[in-house]
Amino acid sequence: MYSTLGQAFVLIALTCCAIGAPVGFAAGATRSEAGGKWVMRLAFGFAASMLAANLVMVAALLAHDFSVAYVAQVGSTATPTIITVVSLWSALEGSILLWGLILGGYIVAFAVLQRRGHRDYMAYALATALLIGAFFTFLIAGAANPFRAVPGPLLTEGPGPNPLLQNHLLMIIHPPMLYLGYVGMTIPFAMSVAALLRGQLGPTWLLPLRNWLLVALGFLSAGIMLGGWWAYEVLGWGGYWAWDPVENASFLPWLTGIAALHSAIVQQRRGSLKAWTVVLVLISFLLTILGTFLTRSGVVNSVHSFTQTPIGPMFLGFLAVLSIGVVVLLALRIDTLATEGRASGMASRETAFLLNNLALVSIMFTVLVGTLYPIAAEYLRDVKVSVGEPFFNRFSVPLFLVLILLMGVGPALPWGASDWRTTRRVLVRPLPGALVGLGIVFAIGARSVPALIAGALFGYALVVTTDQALRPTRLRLKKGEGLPTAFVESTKRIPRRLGGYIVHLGVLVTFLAVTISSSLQTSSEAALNPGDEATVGSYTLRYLKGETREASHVTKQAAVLEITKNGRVVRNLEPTLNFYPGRREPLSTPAVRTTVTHDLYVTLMNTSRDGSIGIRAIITPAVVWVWIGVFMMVIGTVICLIPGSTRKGGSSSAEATELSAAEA
Amino acid sequence: MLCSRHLRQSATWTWLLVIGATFLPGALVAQDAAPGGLGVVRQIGKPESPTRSGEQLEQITEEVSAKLRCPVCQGMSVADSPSASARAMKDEIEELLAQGYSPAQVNQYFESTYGEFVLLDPKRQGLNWLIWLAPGVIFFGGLAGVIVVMRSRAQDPPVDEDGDLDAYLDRVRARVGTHSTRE
Repeated sequence: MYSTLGQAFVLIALTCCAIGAPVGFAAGATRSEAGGKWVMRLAFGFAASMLAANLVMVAALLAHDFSVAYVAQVGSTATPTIITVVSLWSALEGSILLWGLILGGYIVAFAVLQRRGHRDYMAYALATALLIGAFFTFLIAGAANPFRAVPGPLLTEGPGPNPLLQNHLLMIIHPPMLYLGYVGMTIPFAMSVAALLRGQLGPTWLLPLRNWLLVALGFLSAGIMLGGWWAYEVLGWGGYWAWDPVENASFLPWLTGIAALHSAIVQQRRGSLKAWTVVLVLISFLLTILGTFLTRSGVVNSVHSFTQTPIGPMFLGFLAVLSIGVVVLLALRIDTLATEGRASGMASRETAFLLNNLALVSIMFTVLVGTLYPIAAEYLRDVKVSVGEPFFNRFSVPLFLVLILLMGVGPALPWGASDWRTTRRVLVRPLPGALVGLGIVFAIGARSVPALIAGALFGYALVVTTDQALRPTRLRLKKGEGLPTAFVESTKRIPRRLGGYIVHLGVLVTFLAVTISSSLQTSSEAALNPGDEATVGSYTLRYLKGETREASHVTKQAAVLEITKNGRVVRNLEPTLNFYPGRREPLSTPAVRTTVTHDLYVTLMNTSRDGSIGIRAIITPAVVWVWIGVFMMVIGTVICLIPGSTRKGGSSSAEATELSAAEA
Repeated sequence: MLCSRHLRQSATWTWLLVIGATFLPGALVAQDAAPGGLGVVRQIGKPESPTRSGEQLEQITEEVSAKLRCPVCQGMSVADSPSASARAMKDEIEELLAQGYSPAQVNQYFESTYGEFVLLDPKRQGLNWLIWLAPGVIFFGGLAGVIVVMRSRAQDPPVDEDGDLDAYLDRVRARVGTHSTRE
C-alpha cells in the first residue's frame, strides 16, 4: 500500500515539473500572466506531492513495512523510533527523496516571498527550479526509487541503518543541514538563469538574489561544520578536517557562493561585476551537482566503481547537460548584463573585493583540481594516486592568509577612488592590532611562520571589523544619542551591515581556532595496565578498569580512565572500541573533555588479553572555537536576512540601497 | 596483474613481520645493533644520514608519517590514523628514520611496497605537474586580470561622484524622511 501510494505521489510531482517547466519558460518569453499563474500552481503541486511522498515513506518506516524497498534496506524493528524516522536520510534513495522535499519547500518559500513585483523574472525562475526538480523526481521515480516493491515473500526484519550514523546525535542533523545548503543553491541559480533569459539584472532582483544566496550559504556553513564536528567526536583521529573528497565536495560551492555574495555587493554599490556575479552563482550550483555526483557515485574510490549503480552516470549526464546549457546561455546573453560601473581607483574597496574573489576562486580551483586529479590519473595513467592534506594545505594556507589580510584591508578602504594620504591613514590606524595579535599568538607558543603571520593578520582584521561594525553606532553617539538607542536604531536601520561584520568575526574566530588547533597539538601514547598512569600536558590519566558492553549489533570495549589535572580529579573518561559484525577493524569512539581553552581527547587504540590497553591522548587548544565561530557566522547570516526598517512602507529598495551606501 | 600485486604485497608483509620481529626489540635495546634489514637495503640502498634519536627522531617521524597514506583507511595519513596497521607503519617509519634513512628513502620504500597511492603529496613528475602548477597559474593569471581591470577602470574619465551622489541622496532622504549619517 505504502509502495503504491508513494509512487503515485512521486509521479504527480514529476508531472507537475514536466508541465511546469515548459509552461514557465513559455510564460516568461510571452510575458503571459495566465501562464505565470499556472507555473505557480504547478510549483505548489510539486511541493505538496513531494511532502506527501516523504510522509508516506516516514509512515512506511514507522510501520516497518518491509515490502517497501527502502524500508527493507534501512529499517529494523529493533531501532528506536527517532532513529527510524531519521533513517529517511540514512541511505541514498531516502536522501534523494528528502532532497525533493527540501527543493519543494524552497520553491514554495521563494514563490510566496518573491511573488510581488517580480512577475517578469518569476516565471523563468520557477521554470528553472522545476526543471531541476524534474531531474531529481525522475531519479526518485526510476533509478533511485525508494518505494519499489520488494518481490518475493514478505520480510519481517531488516538490517537497520548504517551503524556509524546511529551512534551520534550530530549525524541526525548534519545531513539535512547540508542538503538545505546544497538544494538552497537552486534558488539563486534559478534567479540568475531568469536574469539572463530576461536580459536584465536590476537592483530589485539583486537584493532577493543575495538573500537566497545567504540562506543557502548559512545552511551550507552549518552543514559543513556539523560534519567536521561529527568526524571529531566519532572518528577518533583527533581532527575535524582531512581534505577528504566528500568534505571537499561540500566546500567547493561554499567558496564560490561566498565569492558571488561579495561580488554582488560590488554590483549593488558600484554597478560593476554584474556578469561575474551571475557566473559565480551558476558555477556554485553546478558544483553542488558535481559534489553530489562525487559523493554518491563512488567515483572517488575508483573510476570503475561508479557504473555499479545507474545513479553515477545519470548525475554525470545531468551535470554535462547543465554545464552545456549554462555555457550556451552565457554565450548568448552575457552581453545583456553589461557593466554600468563608475570609475574607481586602485586602492579602493572594489580592488579588495576583486582580490577576495580571486583568492576564493583560486582556492576553489586548487581543491577542485586536487579532488578530481586522482580520478583523472587513474583513467589516463592507470595508476592510483593520492592527493592529500599536505598538498591542499600547501596551496590553500597562503590563500587563506590573503583572505584574512583582505578582511582587514578591504573594509578599511573607502569605495571609489581615494588619495594616497587617506589610504595611508586608514591602513596605518589598525596596525597596533596586528602587533597585539602577533604577540598573543607568540605568547601561547606558536613559532611557525604561517601561524605568526596569521596572528598579526587576525589582530589587524579584528580591529577593522569591530571598528566598522560599530561605526553607525558611534556616529549616532556623537550626535548625542544614548548608547543603547544608538546601537538599536543603527542596527534596525540596516541589520545587514551588522550581520555581515558578525559573519566576518565568526570567520576570524574559526580561522584563528583552526590555526591554533592545528599548530599546537600535543599528543602522547601509552600502554597501560589497570592502575597505571600516563601523563599528557598537565593531565594525568589513570587506567581504572576495562569493561565489555554488549548491545544489539555492537560489542563495546570501554576503558575507564580517571582524569586528574594539577592533582585534582576532574572526571572519568571512557573511550571505547566498537566491534561491529562484518567489519575487520573495530571503530574507535573517543572520549573528549572540552573546555574553553582546550580539549583533552582520548582514544582507545587496542586492548589485549592480559588486560593492558593502548591509548592515545591528545591536547588540542581552541577546538571549541572552531564551532563557535561557525555558529557566529550562522547568527550573522540570520541578522543579514532581517529586512531593514528603511524598506518598510513600500519605498523602493533601490532607494534603501543608496541610503545604505551613504551609511558606509 | 592483481594477483602479482597481491603476491608482492603479501611478500612484503612477510618481510615487514620478519624485520619488525628481528630488529624492533634489538633497536629498542641498542640503537646501533642492526644496520637495517637486507630487504630494505635492496630496495632503497644504504642509509644516507647519520642515525637519529630523541626529539629529532620524534619530530621527523611525525613529518614523514603525515605525508604517507594509511593504506587501509579512507584518505587518512599514517600520523592521524588510529588503525592498527597505521600504527605498525608508523613504527616502521620511525625505525627506518632512526637508522638514518632519509625521508625521501622512506617514501621510496613505501612507494615500492604500496605504489604511488601511498604518497599523500603527489610526486612532481609527468602528468602530476598539472596539479602542482594549476593553483599558481590560476592565481597569478587571475591577479594579472584584476590588475588589468582595475587599471582600465581607473583610466575612465573621473566622475564627479560626490556631487552627483549627494544631490541624489538629498532627494532620497527628502522622500524617505530620514537624516544622513554620512561621515
